[in-house]
Amino acid sequence: MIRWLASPAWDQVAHYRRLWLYAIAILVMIILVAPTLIVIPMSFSDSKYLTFPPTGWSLDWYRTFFQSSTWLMATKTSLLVAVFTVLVATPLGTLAAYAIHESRLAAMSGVHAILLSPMMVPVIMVAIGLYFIYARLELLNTKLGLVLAHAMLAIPLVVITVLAGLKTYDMNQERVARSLGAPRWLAFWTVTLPQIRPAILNAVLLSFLTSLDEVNVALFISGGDNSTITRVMFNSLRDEIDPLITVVSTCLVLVSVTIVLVVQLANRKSHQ
Amino acid sequence: MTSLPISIRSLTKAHGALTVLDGVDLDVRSGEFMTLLGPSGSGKTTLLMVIAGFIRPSAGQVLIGDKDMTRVPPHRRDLGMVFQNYALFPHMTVGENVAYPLKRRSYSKAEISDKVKAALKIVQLEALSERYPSQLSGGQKQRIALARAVSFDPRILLMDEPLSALDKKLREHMQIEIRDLHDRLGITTIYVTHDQREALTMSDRIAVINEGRIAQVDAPAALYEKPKSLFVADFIGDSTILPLHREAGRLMLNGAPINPGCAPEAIGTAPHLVIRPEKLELLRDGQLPAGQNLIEGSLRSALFQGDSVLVQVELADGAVLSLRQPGRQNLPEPGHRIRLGLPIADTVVLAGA
Repeated sequence: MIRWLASPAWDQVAHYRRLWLYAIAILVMIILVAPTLIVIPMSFSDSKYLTFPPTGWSLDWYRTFFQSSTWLMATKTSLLVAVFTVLVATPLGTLAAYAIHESRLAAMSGVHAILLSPMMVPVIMVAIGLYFIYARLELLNTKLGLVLAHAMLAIPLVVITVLAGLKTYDMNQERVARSLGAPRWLAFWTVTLPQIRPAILNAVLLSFLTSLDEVNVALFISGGDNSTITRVMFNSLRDEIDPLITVVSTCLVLVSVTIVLVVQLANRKSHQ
Repeated sequence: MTSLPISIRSLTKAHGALTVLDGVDLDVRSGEFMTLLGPSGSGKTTLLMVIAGFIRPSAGQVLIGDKDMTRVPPHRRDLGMVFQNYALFPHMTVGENVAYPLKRRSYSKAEISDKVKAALKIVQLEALSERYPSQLSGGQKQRIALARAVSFDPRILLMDEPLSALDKKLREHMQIEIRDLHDRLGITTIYVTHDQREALTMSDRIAVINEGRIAQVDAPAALYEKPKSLFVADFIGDSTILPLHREAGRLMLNGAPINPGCAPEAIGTAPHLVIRPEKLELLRDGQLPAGQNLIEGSLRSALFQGDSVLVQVELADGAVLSLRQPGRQNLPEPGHRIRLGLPIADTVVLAGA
């Protein structure tokens, strides 16, 4: 340990000289993951109430969760809506990013701004607006309505991510492919797409998590059999505070972490 | 392989108020190596992109062979293209890169494999077929880009400043290699560059482009020896351009007459003398061979440049011209009078703008 402290880091400054830097970095990481780390042990509690640290351990609340039709149905709705949000937002956002990147139309900067506008308006305003529109279109409490709303929130993230990916890509490659005999769509599919894949995978990840974590819009436009898990969590927090909510949170964290890991693995693979 | 001629007819491209190409006419003969040469922003790359089909012209036509290709999309023009930064596909091996155009056409697997081998053989890189572009040197990437552009026997080869990313030595080597490849394949080639030396080395003919128009189309020697405008004279090779005055029907430089080798009246307004450094001859006192124009001045400096000495001569009006000498022999001391002879046959006088 002492030898390590005295040894130089890559740029010759000894490790002990930057202990303060390491300390700050570790502190920031602890602050970031602490809420998650507290929730997980609480979910294995045998208490009827939220306690930390738990007084005893049990899987009772997991049993309750997996036996509750309300929770299971909400989980299914959330996962289904998240998957379809990805399926709608990723291709649309990618095509939009490609158009913004390639087009020389003066109007394109306006299109760019409109596509990012859902991010600039407070989500609660978006939710209220959607509520009134969906009431007319009879899309309230439907999965379709949720998918469309979440896709609207996810498309700006896809556009930003894919645009960043296209900035580091040399569009001449697509031109070469076209001159070599590939129609434009095929040139995009065989040459451009494989190279912006990391950006697209990140866009998939962001769309999925946006939908899964979304609560504001869901509170307004989801309900009944098509309530999302975040909505049910919100309701149950209002009525009673029991450790079941920590079980749900733990499951959500598990899903999110799995997806992040899968995307990172896929990206590492495409880098090789 | 049958290569085809290209005919460009009154081609115009305008972006709003900006005219990038202004009524360009150009005929490229079948099997010819034609270079589009011009300063940056002259429109040469735009012209190449119009021929390739990536830019649609505002007016005019592009004919390949006898077919009007103006509205045909790039992938159906059947031309090979090489870009400045190679644009190899980094996610494919060298072999897959070269096979890309073949897979877009109806070749069998065996034919594709044969043609990839043949194309790699042309650029002498058969052994690299399994490598990825990131594992290649700059020169190798350039050769693979070439192999990919010719693997499918295109009728035309387009190159957009393909050597500008290479260092000088490699660039000069590749110039000869590309010209050699062109001669072996006999393929009509259009080559874009801003490097006049590169253009002179490689081309059958050069089209000098300036501000969206073709200034002159000629063989390299003709372009160098007989430029038709001051722009071309200035852009091609080293030259000193000096304004002349008219006196009693004669052209005068600092009070001394200059014989332009043609009737002075035939030259338009504001005549200028174009002098190439290697055309000037150092004269001894009192000597003036027949058929030469005499230019007098004082020696300013003599700079040793390895293969030659660059001599700077200051004229009476303060203008400076340079000439090349093989060595320092016969040179007076700086500040001393110096007499130069310019053969009338090499005297170029052009109208100013």
